[in-house]
Amino acid sequence: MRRSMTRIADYEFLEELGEGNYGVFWRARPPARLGLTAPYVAVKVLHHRSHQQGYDRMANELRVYHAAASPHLVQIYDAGHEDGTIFYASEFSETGSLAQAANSLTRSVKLRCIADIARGAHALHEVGLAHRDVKLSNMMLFDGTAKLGDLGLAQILNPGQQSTGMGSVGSLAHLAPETIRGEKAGRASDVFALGVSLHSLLCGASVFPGLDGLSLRDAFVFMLQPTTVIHPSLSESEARLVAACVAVDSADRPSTADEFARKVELLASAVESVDGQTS
Amino acid sequence: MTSPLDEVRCAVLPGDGIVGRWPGGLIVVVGGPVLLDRFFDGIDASGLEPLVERARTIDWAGKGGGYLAVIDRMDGLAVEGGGDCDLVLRDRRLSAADAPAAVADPSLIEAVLDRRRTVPTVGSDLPVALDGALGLERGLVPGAGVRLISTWRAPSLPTPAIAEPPSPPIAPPTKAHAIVTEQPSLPDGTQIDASVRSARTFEVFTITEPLENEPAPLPMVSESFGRATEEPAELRQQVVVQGIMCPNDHFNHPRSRICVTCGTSTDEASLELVRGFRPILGYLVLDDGTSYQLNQNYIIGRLAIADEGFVPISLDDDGISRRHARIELHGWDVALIDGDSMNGTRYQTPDSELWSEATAGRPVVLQPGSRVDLGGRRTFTFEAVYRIDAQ
Ligand SMILES: Nc1ncnc2c1ncn2[C@@H]1O[C@H](COP(=O)(O)OP(=O)(O)OP(=O)(O)O)[C@@H](O)[C@H]1O
Ligand SMILES: [Mg+2]
Ligand SMILES: [Zn+2]
Repeated sequence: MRRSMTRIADYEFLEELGEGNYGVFWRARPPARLGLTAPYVAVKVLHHRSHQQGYDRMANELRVYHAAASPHLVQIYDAGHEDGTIFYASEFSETGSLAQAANSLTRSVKLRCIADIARGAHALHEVGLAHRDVKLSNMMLFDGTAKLGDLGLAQILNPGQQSTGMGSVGSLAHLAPETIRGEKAGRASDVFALGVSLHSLLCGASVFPGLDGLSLRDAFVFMLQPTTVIHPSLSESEARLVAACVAVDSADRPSTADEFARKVELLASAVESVDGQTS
Repeated sequence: MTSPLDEVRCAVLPGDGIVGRWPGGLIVVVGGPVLLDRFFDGIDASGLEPLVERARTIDWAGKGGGYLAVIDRMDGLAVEGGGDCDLVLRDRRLSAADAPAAVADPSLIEAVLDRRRTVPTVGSDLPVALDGALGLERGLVPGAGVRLISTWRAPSLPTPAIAEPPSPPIAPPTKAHAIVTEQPSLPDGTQIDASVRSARTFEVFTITEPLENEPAPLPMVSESFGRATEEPAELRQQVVVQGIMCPNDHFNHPRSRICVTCGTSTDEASLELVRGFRPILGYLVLDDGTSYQLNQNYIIGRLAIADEGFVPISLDDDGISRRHARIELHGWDVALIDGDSMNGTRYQTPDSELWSEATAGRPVVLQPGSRVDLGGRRTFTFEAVYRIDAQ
């Protein structure tokens, strides 16, 4: 039934961009009422219908997200539901996510992008929101900069929900141990996920290869005290930063996403000065 | 060929409800946004038939809504309806229940509208009706009813004008929208009948609306590490239980063999029982792979909503009752309670093939790894995070 969708509300779907853990993204034409000049928007249609409480909580989250107003956040234009099916419309990226574009970027651009993303996350933290779903596929590339998008709404719509089962256990790699123990997501859990993303963007491999092939239950237990394997292609300072981010004790991580961003920018400058000398 | 009904002018009255008109028939459905949401749930709104069929399946009594349809049956106009929608004839006003099953001629009908509305007078209440701004020729628009004006003779409708999506005066006071879309007409200019248009209702909220509370930054990581802080009371339960401390001072299940927080063996731990906040006990893992943290009670049901002290897990399945089962945390135990469900709740311990029936209202303590079956429709497993010795 979903595959045959051609629209939601007054959005006309043009192409399916892909399906994630809790919804499907469409490239769509925006309705005139939004007054946008952009020809396309990315519309997310959530899989699970919600009850009123969940819907109201989501409305509040998205308004706060909007209030964060950072150039490093994918802008959200509109949200609502049609017959109980929830959707929201956001800025469309022609180049897709960092997961898709990774191979075409230089190391220095990759580092600059992750720093942008961390600034976006920090802006959310400063208005009281945790992103909860920081990973490469939620980092959109725009003309050399990156913006964090696709706020994790699963736990907002379904409190207590930890995983949605649509993805592989590999996506649990982004869950900080304290979140698995039941603590609320916050700055530290997003910083954990930033470190995991930085590692996989730089080398294409997971920093927790031990997760591979585990059952969901064993994956949860593994992530309570994950065994970290940092890829040899990372520089010593890159490796140190990743290791600090994925520390089990959140007090050992960079204390804010902004601090993480500054450290990544230093790494980028280091790479750029080496490039400058060799060329 | 053309029905006399198609020659009538239809002026839509602003208000809560939906007015639909296609060649040979019209329907008015009235009621609040919630009722209408339910009415349109999963419906194909591209023609009259599905709307009439849906309306028939609803028991309108006491819901504050209703419907009335007028359909050309060749030998006259058939009328049907239910609930709070009235048929106004030249000489009298009748509720849907009292309306005649047939009317000879559309010129006898003045209006079809919400019971709570008065019939507007053309010219004063409906000043723009005659210039067409409120006219509905074909499609589905929001409105609390229609005023039929049969003195105005429309040319027959070989190429009907598009029913404009109603502009401000007609939009109902809620943020509900209705849109009417049209498929391209065939190259020779003829239109595809019945499914020419589809109409849907949706609602958007304003993302830029000022926030109720001034947003406050998230707390910094502090000494409070390891303890759940400032959790919203309705979502988390701070429950004190007895347990043991691992060599690194993490609180654990009294029979746990390795520490949940640091992985250290608890063999050398002090076996003295101490009191602490209950940590997460594990997860409910549903058959579709979704998982829920066991640090709170859950109510599981078809479109479940929160109950005092229970967080809903909503499953969209007709075989599952509204309050099918509950999961309650008692100390270190995870208990399953059937909520007197229609199709029952069964459970299976990990080392057994046998399924046992849960008695309504009687808690059953689940062993880690136990499976639970809800009405033969959905299953889930209780996975504990701690590893404990068998008793
Ligand atoms: N704003 C956007 N512009 C362009 N492409 C987008 C945009 N947002 C998402 N996409 C693409 O849509 C696809 C599906 O995204 P989706 O969020 O559903 O899956 P995901 O990111 O893998 O998982 P998750 O549900 O956890 O976010 C991804 O490939 C993503 O790159
Ligand atoms: Mg995504
Ligand atoms: Zn410990």
